[in-house]
Amino acid sequence: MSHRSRLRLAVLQLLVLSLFGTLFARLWYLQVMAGEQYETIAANNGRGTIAERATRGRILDDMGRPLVTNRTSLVVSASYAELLKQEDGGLAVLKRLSKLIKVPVTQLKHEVEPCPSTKERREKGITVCNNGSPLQPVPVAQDVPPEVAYKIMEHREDFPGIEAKAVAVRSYPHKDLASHVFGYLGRINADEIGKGKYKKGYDPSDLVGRGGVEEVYDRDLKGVAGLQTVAVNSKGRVTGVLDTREPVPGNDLVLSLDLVVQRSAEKALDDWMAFARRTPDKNGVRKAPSGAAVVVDVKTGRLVALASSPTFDPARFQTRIPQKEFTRLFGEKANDPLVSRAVQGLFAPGSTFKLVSTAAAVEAGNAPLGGIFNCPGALKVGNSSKSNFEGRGEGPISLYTTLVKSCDTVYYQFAMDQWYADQALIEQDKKPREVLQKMARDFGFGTPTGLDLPDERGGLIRDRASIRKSWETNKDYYCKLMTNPTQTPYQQAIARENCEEGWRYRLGSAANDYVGQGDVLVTPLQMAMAYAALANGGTLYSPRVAKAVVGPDGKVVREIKPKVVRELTKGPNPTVQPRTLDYIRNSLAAVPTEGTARGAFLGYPYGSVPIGGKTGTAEVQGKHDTSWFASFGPVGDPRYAVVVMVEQAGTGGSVAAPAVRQIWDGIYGLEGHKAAYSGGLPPNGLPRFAADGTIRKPRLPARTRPSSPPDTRALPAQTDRRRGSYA
Amino acid sequence: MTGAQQQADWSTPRVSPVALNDRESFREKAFHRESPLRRLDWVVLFCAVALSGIGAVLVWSATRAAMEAAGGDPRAFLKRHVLNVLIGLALGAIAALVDYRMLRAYAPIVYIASTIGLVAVLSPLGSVINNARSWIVIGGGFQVQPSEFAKVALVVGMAMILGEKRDNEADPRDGDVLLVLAMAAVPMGLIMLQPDLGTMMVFVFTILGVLAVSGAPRRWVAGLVILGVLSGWGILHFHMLEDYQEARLTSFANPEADARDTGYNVNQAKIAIGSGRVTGKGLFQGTQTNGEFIPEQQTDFVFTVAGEELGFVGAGTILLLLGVVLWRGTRIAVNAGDMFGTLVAAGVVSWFAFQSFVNIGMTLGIMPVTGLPLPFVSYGGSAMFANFMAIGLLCNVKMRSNSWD
Repeated sequence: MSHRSRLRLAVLQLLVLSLFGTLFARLWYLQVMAGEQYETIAANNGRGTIAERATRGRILDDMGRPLVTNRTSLVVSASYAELLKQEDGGLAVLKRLSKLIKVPVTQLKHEVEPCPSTKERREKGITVCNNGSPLQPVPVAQDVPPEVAYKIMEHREDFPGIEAKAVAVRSYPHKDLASHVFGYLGRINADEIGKGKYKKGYDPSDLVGRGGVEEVYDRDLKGVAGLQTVAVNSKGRVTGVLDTREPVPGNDLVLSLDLVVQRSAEKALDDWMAFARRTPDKNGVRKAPSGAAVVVDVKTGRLVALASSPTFDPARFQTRIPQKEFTRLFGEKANDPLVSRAVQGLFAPGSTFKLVSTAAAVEAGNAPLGGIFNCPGALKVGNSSKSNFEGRGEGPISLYTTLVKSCDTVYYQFAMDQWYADQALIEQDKKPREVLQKMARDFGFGTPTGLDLPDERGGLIRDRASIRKSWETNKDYYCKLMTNPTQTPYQQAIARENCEEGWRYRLGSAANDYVGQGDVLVTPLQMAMAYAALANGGTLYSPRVAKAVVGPDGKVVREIKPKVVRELTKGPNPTVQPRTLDYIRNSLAAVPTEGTARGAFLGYPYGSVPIGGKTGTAEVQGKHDTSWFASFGPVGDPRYAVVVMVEQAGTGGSVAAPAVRQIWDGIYGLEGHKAAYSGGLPPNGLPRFAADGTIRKPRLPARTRPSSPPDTRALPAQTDRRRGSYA
Repeated sequence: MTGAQQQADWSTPRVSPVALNDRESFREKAFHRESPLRRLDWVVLFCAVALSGIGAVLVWSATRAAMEAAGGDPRAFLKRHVLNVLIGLALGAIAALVDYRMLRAYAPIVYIASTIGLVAVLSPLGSVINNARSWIVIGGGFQVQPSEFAKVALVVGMAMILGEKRDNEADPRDGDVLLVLAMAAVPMGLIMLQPDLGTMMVFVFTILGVLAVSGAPRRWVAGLVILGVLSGWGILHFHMLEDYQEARLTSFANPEADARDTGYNVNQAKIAIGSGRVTGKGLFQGTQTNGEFIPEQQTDFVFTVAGEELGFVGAGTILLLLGVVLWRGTRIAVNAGDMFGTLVAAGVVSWFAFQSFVNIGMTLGIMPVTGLPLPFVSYGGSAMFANFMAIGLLCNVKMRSNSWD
């Protein structure tokens, strides 16, 4: 053999050696160094899970009556993994199914197939797709007739991968009642899982609460889904069951909401909105498109009724809704029925806000309780003249009459006094006191109440600092608009004013704020909580609709209590003196008898359940006034605060006040209504859950006292009482 | 064997005059120290049989679940594999015992026969399996892959041309090299038409190895290397491959990028091997194997079964056994009695080395996926027969070598 051959053989040997050395090194790396990591991947590789939804907990009212429950429904589901095994990918089966359940094949395909990319979804207009595991059967039809279910189950050979079985679905025995409080159920989105409140314990096949207590107490209600862990091969075929976990049913949720009170509140709202619509007032036809009613237990801060109109049927979300249909039912044209006016609607409060302005004026020293104030028909505020409602003057009157008659000009005077005092402080480089804004915030306005419902809004209370802040962010826009030739000269003038002067808290704004107009925006719930604080002597609550979470065994898992946000009359530096609140309460007690709500309460059995309240008629640019009535009662020892607000409905006394009257009737069983509670008092305890699953009513507190006449201790001399009413 | 014995052996005559004595009993003849049986390379044979034995178990493990699910005999592949090994051993024995000088005479016949086979697969007789027209189905579940036998023909044919020495020339002339290339071009062209990229690459590497060892001028060796690299680049650059081929070739660099498709196999193979760790999950206990996450697991990806179920110990043993076969092969090449023997051994080593490296490298994610079986271990009759014929050739060379090494 030549030397060259020998040498090249040596090279070949070396090459073989190095190739095998490489393989050894790589094998060592994969198995020894990175082995642990691959072991984990392999462990999860051949696994799949099939979830079995747990029965969701019920929602009960304060007496244990079911508000939202479950019923069995025949549901047809399709398993993508099973369909995929078939030669045509299950197309023939889906076609047969399509005929049976009358859903287009393309739609069925979209629903069963794993979700494609967002782009593809948009292009093909796919709204529902399978975002879960392919092993998890996807429900494609609910409430199918029994004969359809039989057909599927008896002809299994025609429907491989399809199953029909009875499952528990949500049932709403009271239809659209309190739907804003309950919310509805919807499928969880793939991008929600693992984030925020869905961080742990959620599966792509889960239904989750959307809106209402279904959302807030989702974790309590949902229970723990059963989970079957199966071994799966690469083709998605189940090769064995590794582990089975039985589902644990969800907990029941007891609300403080009372079915009877809620029903009467919704009926009152409906009745009086309908009344407003069919009865034009002097400003024309009233649209009354939406409204809200709130009943709160002032002693506990628990909500007894929370109504919003228009409302919706949560069951509508159980079946597929085409986008068009969805827009038609729940869109802007349908007046956004999903929005809870009570907690998400912002409205100018009108004169109901005088609770705050009165307290602020008294506490700031602008209005001594025993003082006499001039109520002219109109008052010059700065450069303009601001008039009373209908230009009516009352002459010199007490603070009591000011409230009873709702005289605006008195409040304009308070506003001017305070505004000038604050301007003087500013000129001395001191902080303005801004007593109205401070009082409003102390009564809970401007921030969400923090109740246990989602997406609550906080409203708007503007002071000099916040006005300047928003001006700084918006001034560029106005300053540009000012010279924009497409704007009319009038628009340009407004833009100029906003650009140059927008940072100012003007005297006119201050005057408007004192009568609940201008920039002040509140939710009906905030108003109810403020009047509850007035009624209970100064405790401002963060309210709750839920009372307790009760396990399937009837044991109380957790009690839910309203939080005390603030004690207005307590502490070293109380916001308001107890006697101020007493004075306001006593003044408002006369509103239904001789004040602005007299017409609405004519013939009301004032002797049995005396109530006090304040009307509000808030002007809205280009629309009918917002009608408000905020009340509390019984006057001597208040238990409830009831607030009604109806948009575009005219004066407070004409729509909201009679609606409130009807709600009081419903609570106490007055004027031919059936009482919600035999003693007029809500139950202290929880419904009693028997071992056999039945629920019994909680014991009601005995009626401890006969209804008392109005407390007259702080009443001033009533010499200036006159007949007639304002809004 | 000790050095002292080796020393002594050198002094003994190479061919014993009594070896051909008719009167001696078969037993005496068989175990005579000069008998071919005594001179057989038992180490290589042991390694080859051990590898095919391990292969039998791995093939069984890989096919058991699927066969059972399909309602078949879970041992069907095991039985066929063992049958293949036995036939392979018989073919190997023929290759080992046929007269050394006759081997050269047979070379053209083997070459022509395999070429006819390669033409046949391209005719309607051939069947397409896994995108390549590489098989002739002969019924009864049997099929022949002529390209495997073409490898044997290539090795013997090249050795024949390059091993013929004229006068006292030490190294082959340019003409010989050209003749070799021309001879190889025919089966390579036919394989290209199937198309079977893996076998093509084995051919290229084997030609390179044999040419280099033959002492061919450096320009030829270097030129071939450059040509190989350039054509590889050209194939990819001008998209001359089918999409699936190109995807397989390029996806190994980044298998996770396309985890459900082309890179899927590589990824699952790595997971299987990696998760086996040092001692493996135990035979039949591989979750990746039982879950059928790796395609072609009894053939191209059989090494993953070893990695997962037998761990580093088992997979390393396979590497070691292959390494020993190749090492012995190069020793046989060095010690061969003539250039023909050296080149046959070098050809077999080049072929096995490259094919093993590409196959195992592909399961480990460092080589592209090219559909080559692992010698002796993978299931497959034609490959098994060709492999054992190659071992037979090695033994044949060894028996006629001038060394006891």
